[in-house]
Amino acid sequence: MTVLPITRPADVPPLRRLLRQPSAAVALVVVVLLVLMAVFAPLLVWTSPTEFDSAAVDPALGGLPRGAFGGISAEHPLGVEPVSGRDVLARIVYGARVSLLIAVLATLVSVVVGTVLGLVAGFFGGVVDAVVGRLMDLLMSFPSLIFMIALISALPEANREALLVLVLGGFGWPYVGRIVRGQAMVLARGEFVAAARALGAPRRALLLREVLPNLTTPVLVVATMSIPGYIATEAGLSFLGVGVRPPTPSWGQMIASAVPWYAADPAYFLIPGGFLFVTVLAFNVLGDAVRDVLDPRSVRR
Amino acid sequence: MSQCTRVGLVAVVGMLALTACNGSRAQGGSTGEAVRGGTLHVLASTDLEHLDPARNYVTSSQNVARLIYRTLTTVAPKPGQAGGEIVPDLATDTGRPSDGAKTWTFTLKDGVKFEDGQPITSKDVKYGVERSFAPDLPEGAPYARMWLVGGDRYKGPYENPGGLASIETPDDKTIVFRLNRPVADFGSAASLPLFAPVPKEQDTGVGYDGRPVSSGPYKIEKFEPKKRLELVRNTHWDPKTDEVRKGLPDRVVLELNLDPAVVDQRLVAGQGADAEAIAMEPIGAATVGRVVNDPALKDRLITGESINTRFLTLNTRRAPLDNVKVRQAIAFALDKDALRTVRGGPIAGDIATTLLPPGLAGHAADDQFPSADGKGDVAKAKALLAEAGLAQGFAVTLDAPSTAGGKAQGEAVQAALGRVGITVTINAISPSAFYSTIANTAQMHDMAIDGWTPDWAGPSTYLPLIFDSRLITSEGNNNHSQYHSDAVNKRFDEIAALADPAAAATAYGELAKQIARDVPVVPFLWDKAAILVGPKVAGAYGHVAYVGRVDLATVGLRK
Repeated sequence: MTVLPITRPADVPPLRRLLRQPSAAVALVVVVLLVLMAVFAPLLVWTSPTEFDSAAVDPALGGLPRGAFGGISAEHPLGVEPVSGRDVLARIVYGARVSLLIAVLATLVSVVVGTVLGLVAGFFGGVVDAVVGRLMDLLMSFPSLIFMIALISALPEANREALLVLVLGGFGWPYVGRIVRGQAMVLARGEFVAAARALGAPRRALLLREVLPNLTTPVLVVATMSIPGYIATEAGLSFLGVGVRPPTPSWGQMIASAVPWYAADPAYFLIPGGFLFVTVLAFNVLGDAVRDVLDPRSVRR
Repeated sequence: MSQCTRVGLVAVVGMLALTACNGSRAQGGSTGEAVRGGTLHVLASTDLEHLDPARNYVTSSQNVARLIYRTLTTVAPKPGQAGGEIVPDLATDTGRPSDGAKTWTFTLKDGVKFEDGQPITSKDVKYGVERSFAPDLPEGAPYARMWLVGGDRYKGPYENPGGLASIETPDDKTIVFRLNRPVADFGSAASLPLFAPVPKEQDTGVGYDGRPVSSGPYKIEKFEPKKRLELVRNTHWDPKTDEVRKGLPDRVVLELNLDPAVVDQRLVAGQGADAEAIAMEPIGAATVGRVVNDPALKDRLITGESINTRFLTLNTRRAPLDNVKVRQAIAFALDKDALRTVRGGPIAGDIATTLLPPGLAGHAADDQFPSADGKGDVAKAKALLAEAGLAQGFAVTLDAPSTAGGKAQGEAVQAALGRVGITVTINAISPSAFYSTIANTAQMHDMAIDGWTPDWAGPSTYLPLIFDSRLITSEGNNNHSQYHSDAVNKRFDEIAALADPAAAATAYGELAKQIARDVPVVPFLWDKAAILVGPKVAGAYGHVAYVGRVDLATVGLRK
C-alpha cells in the first residue's frame, strides 16, 4: 500500500471549497433545512402528528382523503393520511426527527466503537488485531438486515428508538473500524510516530496525540457517508414493521401504510417517498463532496 | 328491534335495483345463472386453522368444511338473517327432543355415502362426536363435552375405546343423544363440524386434520397447509340427499395466506383465472373508494350481513380498569366512528351500541354511552375520570393483532383515549397467536381488540360464553374481560332453564343491558362484509353464519 501523507491544503478553507461545487451546496442547504425542520418541529406545525381528523376523510370511500392530491388544503398543506385523517406534514416533520435522530446516534455509536476498536487493532496489531479483525469479519459477513429483524422482534419492548440505535450502530461499526484500522496501521509505522516514540512518549500519548488526530478525515468522511445508509435502513425496518412503534411517526412506516393505497391515493405514497429520496440523496451527495474536499486522493477530474 | 337489519337489507336491495337499471348483467348477488362446471378459485388472506371436524371452530374453516363434510343439521343456504335458520343435513329433520329436551333423536337420510362409497351410519356420527372428547384434538366447540351425560369423564375413543354410553345407535339410521340438562337448541348445536361423521377405520388421529374423509360434494385432492387446498368432486355425493349444497364447480381451489392488498388487486383486475375467483375476506379500506366509484366493480361487490359484534375488551381485574367509572369513561371516550372508518367505513358495518347485534334474537335497542355520530363524548369521559380521581390520566396496554388492520385499530383507540389523558401502548401480537394470547389470563393486558360471533343464530352462545365468571380458565378463556358478577351468573342459570326460546331471548336482551352498565366490553361495530367476486362468479351471497363471507356451498360460475 502506498503511503501518502494526509494533509490539508491550507490556502482555501474546506467549507468554501465544498460550496464551490453547486451540487454539494444544494445538498448542504437541503440537509441544513431538514435538520432545522426536525429540530424546530413543534414550531413548524401546530397539528399533532397523532391527532385524528375524521372530517378530512370520507368514510363512505373507505377513509379516502377528501379533496385532490391526498386531501391537500390550507389546513393540511401536504394532505392527510387515509382512514385516520392525520396530518401528513406533521407526520413528515416529526418523522424526520425520528429518522435523523436515529441515524445520527447510530452513526455516533458506530464511529465511537469503530474508531476505538479499529485504532487499537491497527496500532497494536498481533492478537488484539486478530480478535478485533475476526469480530469485524464476522459482523460484516452476517446477513445483517435479517439478523436485525430477528433481534428487534426477539428483544423485550423497552425503547424501540434506543434499540434501533444500538442495533444499527452495532452492525455498522466494522465499516468504520476497518478503515480506521487500516489507517492506524499505516500511521503507526509513520516517521512522526517513530520520532515521538523515540522521544519516550507513552503509548497513550502516541495513540491520542499522534495517530488519532490524523484519523479525523477518514472518520468524518465515513460518518457522513453512513448517515444516509442508516436513514434508509431505519425506514426499511419501520417499513417491515420492526422499526419505531406507532403512534410515533416514521417515514418508513408511512410508506408501508401507503402501499395498499398506491392506486387510490398516490400522493400519500409519493410524499414520504419523496422526502426519503431527497434526504438520502442529499446526504449522499454531501458525503461525496466532503470526501472530495478532505481526501486529496479522490479529487474529481 | 330489527330496524337496523331492515335498513341494511334495503340498502342491499337498493344497490341491486340500481345495477339492474344500469343494464349491467354482471350481477354477483343474483342466482340462477350459475351453471355446473368450471374451477372456482378462493383467494384467502387468512389460513385454514383446522379441517378436522373435531377441531374446526373458526367460521372461515367451517365455511370451507361445509364443502367437504356434512353434519346432522346445518345453516340454511340463504342470504341475510334467513341464513341463521337451522335445516336438516345428514338427518331427516333438525332433531326430535324428548324427556324435556334432555334426549335428542336424529334419523339419517337414505343414500348418504362417504367418498369411498361406504354408506354413512349413525355409528360414524357417534364416532365423530366421540373424537371431540380426545385431549389430542383440542380447540373444537365445547358443547358435546358440556352437555352429554358422562362427558366430564370421557376422554375420547383413543383412551376409552368402549365409547360414550350417552350416544346411542339403536340401528344404522338412528342416533340418540342423552344430555345432562335440558338443551332447547341442541338441534342448532348439531350444525357444528363435530357432528360430522368420521369412519373409524380411516381415522388417522392428529393427521386427520390434513385429510378429513369427505361426505359432502367435494373431497381433498391436494392440501399444502398454509398455502393451497384443492378440492375435486366426490362422485359418491348424491345431490338428491342434499337440499343445501349445490356443488356446482367441478373443482374448488383455495389459495391461502395471500397478502390482503394482493387479493384486492387481483379481484379488481379480475383477469384470467381470477375472473372465476372470490375473496375469502372483505375488501380493505384502500379498495373501498375504487370499488364504490366504479359501477363495474360495484356490481361485483357482495354485501353480507353477520351476527358478529366487534368490541374493545376491558380487563376488569387490572387497575385502574377494575373501577367501573373508569370503564364507563373509556366507553364514552372511544371513537367508534374512527374505528369503523379504519375497517372500511359504513360498508364495513354499523356503529354498535349494544353487544347483541340487531337481527339476533334478543337484541334490545340500547345506548348507554351515546355520542354524536359515535365519535365519543370527551366531556362526559373526563367527568367520569375526575370522579374516579384519575383526572390526570393513566397508562394502559392494548393487545392488538400485528396485522395492518389490527395496528390501525390500535392507533384509533390510542388517539381516542389520548383525548382524555389515557396513554395507550399497543402490544402487537402475531395474528395466529392473538386469540390464544388474550385467552390466557396471565398474558392478557388491560385492553384488547376483540369480537364475538355466536355459534348459531341465537343469544344462548353469546353472553354466557363471554361473561359467565365460572367459565374463566387460565388458558383458552373466552371471558377475556374476566368479568365477574354473581347476579349475572345467577341470571344465566335462570335463563338457561327457560323452556321458551322467545322468552329466553328477551331475557338475554335485558341481561345484556345490565352487563353493559358494568362495561366489561365496549361494542363498536356490528360487522358487515363487503366481498369482491370475479366477473364470472354467480350466485354468491354473504352468509351470517360465516360473518357475511360468501357461502361456498352454493356459489357457482356462469358460462
